[in-house]
Amino acid sequence: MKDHKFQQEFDHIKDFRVYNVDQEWEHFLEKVDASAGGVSKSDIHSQDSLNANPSKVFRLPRYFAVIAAGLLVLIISTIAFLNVLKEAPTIVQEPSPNLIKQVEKKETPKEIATPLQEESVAIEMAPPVVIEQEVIFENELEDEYKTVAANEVITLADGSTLKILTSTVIKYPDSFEGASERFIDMKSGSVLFDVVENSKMPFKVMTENAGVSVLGTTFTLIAEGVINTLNIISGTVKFYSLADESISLLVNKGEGAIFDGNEMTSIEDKVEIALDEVIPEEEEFVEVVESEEELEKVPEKPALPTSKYDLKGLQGSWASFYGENIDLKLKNIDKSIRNKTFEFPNKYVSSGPAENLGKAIELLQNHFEVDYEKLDDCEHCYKINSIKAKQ
Amino acid sequence: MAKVFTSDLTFEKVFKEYFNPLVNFVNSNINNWEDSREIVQNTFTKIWEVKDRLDIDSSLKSYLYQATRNGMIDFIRSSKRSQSLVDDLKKDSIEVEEDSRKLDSMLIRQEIYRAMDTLKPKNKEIFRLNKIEGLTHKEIAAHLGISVRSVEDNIKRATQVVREVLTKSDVLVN
Repeated sequence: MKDHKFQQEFDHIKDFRVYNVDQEWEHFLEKVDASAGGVSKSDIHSQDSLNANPSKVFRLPRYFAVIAAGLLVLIISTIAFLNVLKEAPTIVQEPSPNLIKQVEKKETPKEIATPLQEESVAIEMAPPVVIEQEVIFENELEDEYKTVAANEVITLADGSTLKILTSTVIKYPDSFEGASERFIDMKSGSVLFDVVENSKMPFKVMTENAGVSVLGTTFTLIAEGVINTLNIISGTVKFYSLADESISLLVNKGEGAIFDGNEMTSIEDKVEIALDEVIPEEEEFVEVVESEEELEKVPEKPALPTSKYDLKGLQGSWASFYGENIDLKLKNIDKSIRNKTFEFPNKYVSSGPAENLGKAIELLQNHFEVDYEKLDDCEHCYKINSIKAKQ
Repeated sequence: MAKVFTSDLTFEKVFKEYFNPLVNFVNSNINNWEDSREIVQNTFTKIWEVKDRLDIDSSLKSYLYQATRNGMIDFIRSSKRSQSLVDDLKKDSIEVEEDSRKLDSMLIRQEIYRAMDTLKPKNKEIFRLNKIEGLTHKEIAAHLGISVRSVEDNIKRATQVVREVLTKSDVLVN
């Protein structure tokens, strides 16, 4: 449960806006001060520090102005620092003009104003933070990709073989000593992999945008630009998107899958066609072709990756993504239905444009009787009247 | 009657801890950042005025949630925006639990941001480009001139660190 929660919030952090709390606190103090007169300022200080001297605070002597100036410098440098590191919307510009005006209004003596200006200029001209080289590698791979011609066979240190089917651009290590994984970086091409079983050291192949993770198995992988075609001859592999690991499939013996950069689908008859299109007919393919009989067992419909959801969870995600466009009106729904879990495609829960909402509601009808109407005054807005159990 | 705000848990600390999660929470309801910021500022002002008389039965978080939610309703009503929104929010039968989960979400997201600050610069940058800017692994690799593999490794590592930090803090616990 915790993990699911973490993952959900993790996926939404780009929606989270971070204001500068120090500035907001200052702004808050000004408001409180303004609404309640000078007296409240002493309240603030007596609450947060033991030695309060209201009259001194009220008359704002020079040392307080120095502290305010120092605070301003700190805030400006924090702004510069944050602006460099976070390009996400951080609203920091707004309050600062107020603060600067505030300081000016309080008749700051000139000797303080000048160093302040110099400091700000110095900070503006400071070079951006240099990002250090701190990249973590597990396997030290050779730097260059190798282009390997068709028909060549590469034998890896563990005995696994890579039969090159068409010209392939690939990187692989000379030895697996000290490695926690057997890692192959396949930029493009098509390869028949025969992987020796080793449960302690998973075998991973990565293309431009997809990954295949296996323990021991025989499979073909075709990587063409962003399209990856995987066929399993024996064993089971996990096929996943590098950009989003939640897009993944477990592909079994006799099954296949295609990932085009966005969607991952199981495939059936397409297998033969794909091979014909991409790979010239060669004897080596007899192996693959023979196993096609097993490919008939693949599932009928291409499947979108799904997870278990309940209406509460769905509402939470939909509210974040589609906001006012949809409201499941959970309060009108029976508790037993609200808590019922069902499989729902991830794609229609928390990603994509508002156009997806229509499809999402349609899919919801696979599990419930949904009484809804599309609203006229808004392009992709829906009103749900009730959700009941499917009859 | 024990005071809510003490020398340990000062008003300032509470303000700084809850400000961003509350603003993001309000915005998730009314979809207007400026208004959300104002609502939260006003809420804290109101709490400030009664802070010495405050006696809270529930948790501080629940109290802040409730106070902010009331402030949000008042604000919307007085500014005469979307009447249907007001109606929805006012209804007592609304699942407060489901709405308060939004605040929990925001607290978690704040922790994630803080956890990100503990990452090493390059690691953090790669992570940020992926999770916040939305670049794919391939785009990041091209952008930084490194391999897709090392992008993947960095994101894996950063995720691990963030997850560890979050597990140690209490935000993931209900």
